[in-house]
Amino acid sequence: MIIRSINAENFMKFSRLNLSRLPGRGVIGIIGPNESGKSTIGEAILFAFFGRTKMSKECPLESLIHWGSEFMRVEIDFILCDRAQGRRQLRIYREIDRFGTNYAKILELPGKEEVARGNLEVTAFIQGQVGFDFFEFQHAFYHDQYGSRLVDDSQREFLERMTGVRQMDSATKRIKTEIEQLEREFGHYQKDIGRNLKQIEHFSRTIERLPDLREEEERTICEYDRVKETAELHSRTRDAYSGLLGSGNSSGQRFAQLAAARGAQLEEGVSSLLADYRELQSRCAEGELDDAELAEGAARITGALERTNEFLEVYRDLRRTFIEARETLESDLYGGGEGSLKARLNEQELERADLAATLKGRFKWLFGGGALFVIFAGLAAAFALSPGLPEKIGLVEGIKPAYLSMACGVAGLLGFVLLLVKYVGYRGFESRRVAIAKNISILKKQIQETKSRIRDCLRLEELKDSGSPRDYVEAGSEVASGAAEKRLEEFRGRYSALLGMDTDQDFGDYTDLIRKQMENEKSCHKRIRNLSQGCANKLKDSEARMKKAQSSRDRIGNELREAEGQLAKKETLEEKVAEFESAALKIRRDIDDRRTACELLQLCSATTREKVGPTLSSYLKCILPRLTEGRYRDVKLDPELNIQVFADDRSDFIPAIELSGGTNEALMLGLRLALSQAHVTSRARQQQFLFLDEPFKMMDSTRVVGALESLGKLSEELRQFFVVQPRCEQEQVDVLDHVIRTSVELTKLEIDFSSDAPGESFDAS
Amino acid sequence: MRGPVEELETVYQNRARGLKSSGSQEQLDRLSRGFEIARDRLSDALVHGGDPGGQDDARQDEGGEGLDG
Repeated sequence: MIIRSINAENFMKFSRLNLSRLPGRGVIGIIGPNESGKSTIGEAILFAFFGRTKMSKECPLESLIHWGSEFMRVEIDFILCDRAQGRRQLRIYREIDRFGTNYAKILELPGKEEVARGNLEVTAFIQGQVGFDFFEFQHAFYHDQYGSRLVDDSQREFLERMTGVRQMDSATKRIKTEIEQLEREFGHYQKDIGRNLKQIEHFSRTIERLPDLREEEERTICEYDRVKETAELHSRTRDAYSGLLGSGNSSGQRFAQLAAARGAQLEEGVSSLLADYRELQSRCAEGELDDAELAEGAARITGALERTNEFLEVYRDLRRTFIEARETLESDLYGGGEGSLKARLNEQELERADLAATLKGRFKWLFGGGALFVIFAGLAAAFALSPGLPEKIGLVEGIKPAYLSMACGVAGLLGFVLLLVKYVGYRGFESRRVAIAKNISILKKQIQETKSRIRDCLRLEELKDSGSPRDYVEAGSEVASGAAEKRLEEFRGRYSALLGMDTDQDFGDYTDLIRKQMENEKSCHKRIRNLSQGCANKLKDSEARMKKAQSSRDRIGNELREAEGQLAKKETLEEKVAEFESAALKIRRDIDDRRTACELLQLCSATTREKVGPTLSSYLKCILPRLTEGRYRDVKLDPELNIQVFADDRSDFIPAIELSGGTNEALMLGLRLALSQAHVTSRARQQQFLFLDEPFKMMDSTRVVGALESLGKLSEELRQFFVVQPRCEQEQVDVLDHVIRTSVELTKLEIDFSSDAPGESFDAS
Repeated sequence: MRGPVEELETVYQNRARGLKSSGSQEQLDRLSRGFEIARDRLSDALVHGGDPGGQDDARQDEGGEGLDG
């Protein structure tokens, strides 16, 4: 950084300070008596760049405002040789008023574009772009007139910061903190992993029992199912027997009722009982009711009921025959066809009525014919007997009476023929009428007989609900005819055989058979009751065993579920452990990486420390002979900045403390210049100005001249020097490149250096 | 005199060269990762001026009062 101009207003001593177009190379001497504002120029530079001054430690910044003014401002144009952006001309501006209100900004020249605004941005810009802060600046490029003549801790700290050792240590410390944090995190993970592994081990002991528990569960389930099945079987059997007991009581009553039942009630009762006993027999046969005695009793009753049912079937067939016979009679009597008796009777009666009408008509014709015959026969006889009669009566003139008589005779003959013909016809119809009348009489008789037989059949049918089969057979024999009579005879013959009785016992009846079964039914009922009681007891035992098996099954099931739950938890924990182990491994790797980083930084720090001494020594060796007129040439500097100078007279290195005041001052100046050079080389890496405030207090004039001469030749980077000197002899002034003179009275200082250094250039290093 | 980061790179490259001849790939990788971390932290420290607390103390001791940000 090279300063091009310093422009201040109301800053400390100066109401106006304007140093424009400062030369970029050479030694600029600032010469003047005490309190003439020499150091103020350096303070203005510090204030502009850092917002603080050396003075501001003792007093507030507001007190630096020129007496009688309300504010102060400093504006410095400077050149940065940035590697990235090349040469940049910038202007920093800072102002403050008596109330402490301050403002700062940095502008890019020549366009005056604002690149930073406010204290924070300006400070960041200076540190980032220029490459130093206040602390580093005042150690590297600002030689304080009040500075220590010995190496102090502050310089060591600066050296550490300048070389990066402090930053390396800081980075190492930060990484160690990270390592400690990671170690703690790692420890947490390890602790969690250990706890989870312990839990997994605990679960594993339970999980090991899983196969045994599963086997035991299967066994207990089988046992439970078996016992349950037995209990259900007993329950079903008991229910069956209970059902039978209920129906058994009703069966006794039903048998008693059946003995007195008739007709449909009897048939339905037998069918119902037969179905019940067939079912009972079937259940016995299928093993549901596993009892031989009961099966035998049921078989006996079933057999008897089947025989009764068969008897009733045949009896029903017999009745059906009579019903069919009645239906045939009814059909003969009332059938829809022309062959029924009623139809035939109606037909005959109709025919008879027709004949009567025909006979009436025929009789009229017969009467007419007779009348014609009588009339014309009489006329013929009269005319024959009396020829003059026609003339008398004036009937016809000109006709012979014989003819007339003949004509009448013919007419009478015709009338007779007609009479004869009609008579013959009439007689025919009459005989037909008589025959029809006879038929009608016969038909009426047949109808009466048929009706009588139908009534008998109906009365017989009524007997099926009120009488016994025997009564029916006896009544049926009186009305039976044809096929019915034949069936009746067959039934009568098979009567006892159908009931399974001795055929000789003609008196046997189905009621006897039914009554006999009542005893069997009681025996069955008793057996069923005993069996039911036995089943109930077995069921009770089975239920107790089932309860026990259920309890055992539930207990094993709970244990199994618990074990399976633990298995799931174990798997989850194992996943968690794997996850933790992975995370811990990553953390371990991070720790190892950071330890490697620490090792690198520590090694780098050590290496840098080792290099500091020789590096600074090499710089110092170049400067020291010029500052001591060649008296001291060799110097050793350890990493702690302890300086030893080779003294020719002693032929050995001696500590700096043993040197004279002037030599020590020269040595310190040399060290400061070496530090400046080191900073420029390692950090700033660009051309740089130095502000040396009264650096030659204790040096004699010859050495001062030598030092001033050598400043401009130190290096390419350190090229602009502001050297403050209160007293300056002419020979010293002569070696200065430019001079700024100050005086106590002057409050305005304005110098334009444009004529002093035409055409100079600035290069990026 | 090299800057701190360049010095660190030099140290790293020296170590890496040594490991390439005698060390394992794992060690090389670890060194590489370690170097990345070290460079990152060092750059950070360089930007923030090393030890900010110590730096502030030094400012107060050496430079006196400054303007608040």
